[in-house]
Amino acid sequence: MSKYACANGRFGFGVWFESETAEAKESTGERQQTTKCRHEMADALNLTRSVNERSFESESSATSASNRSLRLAEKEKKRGEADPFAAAVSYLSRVKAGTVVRGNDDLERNILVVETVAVSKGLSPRVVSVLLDLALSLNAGTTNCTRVLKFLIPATVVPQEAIVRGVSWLCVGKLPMNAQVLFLRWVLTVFDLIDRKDDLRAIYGFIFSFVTDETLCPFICHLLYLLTTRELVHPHRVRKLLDIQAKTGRQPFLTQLLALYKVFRPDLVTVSLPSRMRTGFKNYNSTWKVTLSAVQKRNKGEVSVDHSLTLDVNEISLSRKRKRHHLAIPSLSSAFDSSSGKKGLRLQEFHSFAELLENIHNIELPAQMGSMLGSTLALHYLDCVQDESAFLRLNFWLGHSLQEEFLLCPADGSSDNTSEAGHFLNTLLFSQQFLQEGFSSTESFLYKFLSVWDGCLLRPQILDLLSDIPLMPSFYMNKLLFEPLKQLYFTSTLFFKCSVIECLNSMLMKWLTWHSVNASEGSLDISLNSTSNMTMTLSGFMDSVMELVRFVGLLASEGLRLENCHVLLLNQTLGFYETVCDMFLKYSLPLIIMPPAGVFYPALFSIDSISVDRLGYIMYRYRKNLTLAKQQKQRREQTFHISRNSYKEFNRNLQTMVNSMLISQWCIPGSELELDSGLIAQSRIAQPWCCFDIIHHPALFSYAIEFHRRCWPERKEMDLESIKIGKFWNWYMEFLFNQGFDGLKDFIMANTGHGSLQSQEERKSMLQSVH
Amino acid sequence: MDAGFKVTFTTVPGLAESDVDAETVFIQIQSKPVFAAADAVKVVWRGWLTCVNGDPEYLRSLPADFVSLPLFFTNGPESLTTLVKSWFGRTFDANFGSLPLNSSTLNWLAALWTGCHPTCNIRYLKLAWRLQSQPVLDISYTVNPQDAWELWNSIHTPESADDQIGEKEVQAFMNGLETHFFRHFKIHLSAGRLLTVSTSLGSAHHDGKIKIGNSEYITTLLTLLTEYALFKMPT
Repeated sequence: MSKYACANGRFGFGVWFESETAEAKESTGERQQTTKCRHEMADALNLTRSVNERSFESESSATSASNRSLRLAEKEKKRGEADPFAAAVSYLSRVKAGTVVRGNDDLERNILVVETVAVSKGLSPRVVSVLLDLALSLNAGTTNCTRVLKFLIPATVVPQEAIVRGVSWLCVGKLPMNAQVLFLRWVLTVFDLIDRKDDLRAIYGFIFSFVTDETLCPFICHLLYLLTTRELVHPHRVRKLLDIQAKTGRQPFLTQLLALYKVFRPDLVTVSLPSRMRTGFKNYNSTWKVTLSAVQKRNKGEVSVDHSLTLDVNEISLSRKRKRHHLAIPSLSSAFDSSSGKKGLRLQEFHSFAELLENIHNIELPAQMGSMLGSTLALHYLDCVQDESAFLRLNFWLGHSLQEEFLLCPADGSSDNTSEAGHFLNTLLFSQQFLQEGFSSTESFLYKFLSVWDGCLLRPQILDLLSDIPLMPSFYMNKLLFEPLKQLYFTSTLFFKCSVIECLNSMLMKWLTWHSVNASEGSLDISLNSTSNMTMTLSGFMDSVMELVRFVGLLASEGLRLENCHVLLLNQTLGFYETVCDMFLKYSLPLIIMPPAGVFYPALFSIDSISVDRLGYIMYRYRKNLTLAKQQKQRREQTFHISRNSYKEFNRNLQTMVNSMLISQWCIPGSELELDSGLIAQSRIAQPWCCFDIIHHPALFSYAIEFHRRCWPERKEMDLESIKIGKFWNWYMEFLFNQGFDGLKDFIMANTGHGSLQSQEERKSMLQSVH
Repeated sequence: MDAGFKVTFTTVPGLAESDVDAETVFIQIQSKPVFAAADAVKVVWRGWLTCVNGDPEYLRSLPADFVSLPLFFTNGPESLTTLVKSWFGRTFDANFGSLPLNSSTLNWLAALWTGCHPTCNIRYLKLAWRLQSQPVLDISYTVNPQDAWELWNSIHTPESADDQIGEKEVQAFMNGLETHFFRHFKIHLSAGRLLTVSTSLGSAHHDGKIKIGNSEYITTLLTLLTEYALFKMPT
């Protein structure tokens, strides 16, 4: 039987006919069969034929619209310059039959471009079709045919039309044997990626007709094995296979296919077959296996979780398995037993918050509670429903995953693992922040983890999770939280210290916010979070807050000393005290706690103006808080008591600050800060007593110099003292306030009365302190 | 077209000891190859979930619908085990972790099995230690069962026996074995780690592999393991 092709090279497929030659040995029956099959093939190719016709039409109209095609070509060229890959693909799709291959640099270059993309990212379905046609039509030559087939790695799916066209090229008969084998092996390798198989099943007969070819037989049998359905088992095919088996002996691939036929139609296959069979199909995918799996891994790994706060249910498919441990958030799926009486609706069916609200009484919890993390809709539902068993399941799964990942399986340091773990923790953080409270299993995990943590692994996530810890009695806090943190803090870098202070600041803010929302007027019992049963009295709460603030004060003072009053650490600390100073006014918690000396003095004498400004703001807020407390006490409105100590401490700090900044007396004998006059003399500074006032303060004197230069541009010698005289002082104050020192402004205005002051003496007399 | 599988779940009553324990569940996977005759079923994998004498306080604190089966035993190829585990995870939100046995549990098992010698001959008591020296030293220490039993009997006297084995007794037993070893080889076994304990009744490995050879004292063994498993719960 010889086949010849009437190939329409431009459109890349062929329709073939059979010619009867004298050498034909086949029986008439077979020939009839094959003719019938050809008709089937023709029907199946209807779609391609119609494409053919349409393109014919477009071809004819193209000549009339030459201008248009010119513009199109220009546009494509421009696009090509921007995207070399698309340009290469369009070039390759236009390669015609008879193109010169040897020495064709353009062809070579474009194939190379496509090859690089193919082995790194894989090819889209359209490109796969184009390249398959190019290869199998032999338009680019025989060597390029095998070359292209070897790098034809699909990224997602393979359209079945491409395979059907490929089989038709096979039927044309021009392909060399190794190319045919390579093509069949390729089809087998990407079989699972073919989007649909119904057209392939339609040309089953054509594929079957290749079974007679000895070299192709194993691969054809394998392909048929994958495609066979019950309807495709016909007696003539069985007979054919048995004939081949008789001629060539019991080959494993033949036996396998026959066994499959027997399963579908045991009446047609009466030969006995061995019941135990190893799979008869040999390794076909060795050429592509490694590259294909690498590309797939790379593509799957780029699935990103959508964290936008739109209320969509996300199908999270972080399905990368890592050794034995799955640190993946499972996808939403329904519970196994969905045949229980009342059919609940499943969570993944909802796409908007409104839908959730409508059906809220009829929702079934998913099979794996872990899948609710990361989906805002599911979290809303979880928060509403407050089902104890749901939380128990979630906490169990979460606790188990965290334990397995961090505590039982030591991190092996590869960035792959850490990034997955980081991703998981990020999703957990997102869920906790969405619900505005932490899970109890996260809490217990963190306590266990802190004692073995090195301070480096996933530091931002761990510290953020730490700040979500709810309040607990001060005894436990000390043991579980503060002790390990202390150890980590004092053995770490400056940046870790700053991060810890920031984390504790955030923790304090969360506790205070929770308190101001939950504590109702007059009641003393407050339950801690919605799922725990611990309750706490107001005094217990205040105890814990005091413990925390005291602890941070300790960390900060020692840290500043160790780090030489580094400005970053100082700023984080002052940020913390900005929260602390307003506890009464902002959060209605009657606690006034002063910063310790180890924080106050470094801030007061710091060489960085922002710290001084912030300190001013803090002292101003303290004053306001204390004043309000005092007023309430005098009017007998409140039941709490601010100790005299707090007032005394504040006064002392205030005095020091005012003394040093405004009255130029920072070193008063008998005060807290006292230096031997001999020591001061040794520093050989002229007028040492005013070296920390507003004009000479190391943080601020650059402004004084600027001011002096503006006021007296003709003066050669600096005389900063002249700023203190008369109206210059007021102008200077205004100038300073306009530089953005709001904190200092508030402080000075509050403590020296509003408006301008004429002299140092007046300033002294107008000083008020709170008693 | 893989061979078909058939999975059966049955409960095994009687293993659970106390009222709060859930019944043991026995799972069997049988393979049914497609091309073979219909009756050629073969068991390819077996497993069971159990809870024996679990902590009643904990078990009662769980909500009513929850069943706690903290121990999972498997026998079969690893691929099927992972398949079963992932199915349980997807359907029941279950989690599986390995149960590594620490040295105190292994000591306990050694004492327990030695104590069974009069009723069923344990034939040998083999202990495997690992010492972290340069190079790493693996020691296998086999004790004649009669001698081991006499040592145990002198510590855990029958009069005080009320089926409770105290920790001090276990410690004394191990100390006895270690000092004997030291006397002969001048090596302190306590500097190393006990990895395996085996007798004819069964063997236990520190990474959680347990072989049970004799069903005599299975309840005690399971109680110990249940307690250990519940102790390792993440919450």
